[in-house]
Amino acid sequence: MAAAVSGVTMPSVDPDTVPAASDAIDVRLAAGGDARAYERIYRRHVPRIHGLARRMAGDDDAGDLTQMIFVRAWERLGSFRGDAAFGTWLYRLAINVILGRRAATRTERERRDHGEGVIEAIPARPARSEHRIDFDAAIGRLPPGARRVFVLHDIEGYKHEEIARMLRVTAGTSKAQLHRARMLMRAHLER
Amino acid sequence: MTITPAHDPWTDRLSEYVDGEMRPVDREALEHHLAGCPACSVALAELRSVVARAHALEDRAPADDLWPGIATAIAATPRRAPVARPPADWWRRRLDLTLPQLAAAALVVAALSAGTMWIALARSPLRAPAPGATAPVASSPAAASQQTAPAPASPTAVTAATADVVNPRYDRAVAELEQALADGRGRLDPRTLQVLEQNLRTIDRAIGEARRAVAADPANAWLRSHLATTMKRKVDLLRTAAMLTAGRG
Ligand SMILES: [Zn+2]
Repeated sequence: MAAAVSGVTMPSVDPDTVPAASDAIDVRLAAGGDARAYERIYRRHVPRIHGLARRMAGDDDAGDLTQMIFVRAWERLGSFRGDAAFGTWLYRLAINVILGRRAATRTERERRDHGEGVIEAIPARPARSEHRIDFDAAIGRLPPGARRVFVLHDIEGYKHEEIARMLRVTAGTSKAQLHRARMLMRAHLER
Repeated sequence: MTITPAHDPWTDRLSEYVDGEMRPVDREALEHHLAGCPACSVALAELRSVVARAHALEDRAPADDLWPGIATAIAATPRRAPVARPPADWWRRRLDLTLPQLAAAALVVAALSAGTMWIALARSPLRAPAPGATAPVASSPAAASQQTAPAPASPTAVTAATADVVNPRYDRAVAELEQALADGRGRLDPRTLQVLEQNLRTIDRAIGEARRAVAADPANAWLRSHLATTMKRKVDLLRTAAMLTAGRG
């Protein structure tokens, strides 16, 4: 009998299957004012949120935006309903903060660029970029309108209809901006 | 001398093609064009690479730790008390399944002394509770609402359910199992023992967190069932360990 069992070792508990330190628990704790629980939430989600902020708004603003997003989420935790994944809720809130701030602080420079709505003639072949920058960094150099659609569609997987609602443009504009962004991004493919 | 080629209108439609958003008739026309237009063919391949590259981008934590700033800000942010919502019916339904099972397990465990538990486990493992207790949520909201008439949870019912989950008898039973395990640990090989203890620490931490969460939000049925599930996992783990110990003895 012993022989049959002696080779058996304890199965290791997969942290993903143990419902420990999950968002569901930490969100409840944080909603009750537990900042340690909220820090765990922050650590789990900050790479994705910061990536979104960086690509949508650029390196200079990404840190500030990320902080704003997590402070706003803390304020709103009480309104999070457990029926959606917390990550999805947080992500949507993040997009609202990013887009909301852009509306509030849109600069003259951005208006001058004709960032939105205007599709410039696109060269049939992209010019090879002189200073080679990495693909991810190049997203930040896209014209603002094209950049936002590119991030939301090709990186985050939103549909044109959703993007159109979020950005208050038509689905047709969203499609055109996406194409423009992709055409420009060809110059930054690693070759 | 540079010759600027006339603008090729098909180029503007390549993203639509990549995304599969073209009407079949347009798609066929574009495919026909592609066969004779190297420029569009190259652009198409590049667009596909851009899309693939975008999908593959990885996120990384920011270089600077932003948490201290957030911690300061939220410390200064007054917070409304969370709104206690009555638990959705399907969660209570799940709880109905979970609690009796947990209670049964606790009773069986409590009825046995550590010594008899040892022997019983060595001979015939206690039956694991029905699959529903360990499986993730099985019933859909729709299915549950068909099965049970909605009844608003009264505060009394909630308190009773909480009391069931935080069960002193269960705690005592677990303590007995733990004691038994401590007595028998010499019979486990060091690696097994190490994994076991690591597992127990993980589960204990989970139980602690779940308990604090339930205390913070007693009306939340999901949290209560979560706590129940986590506690049950500890019993399962201790049983497995006990079997191993007995088997080696
Ligand atoms: Zn062509």
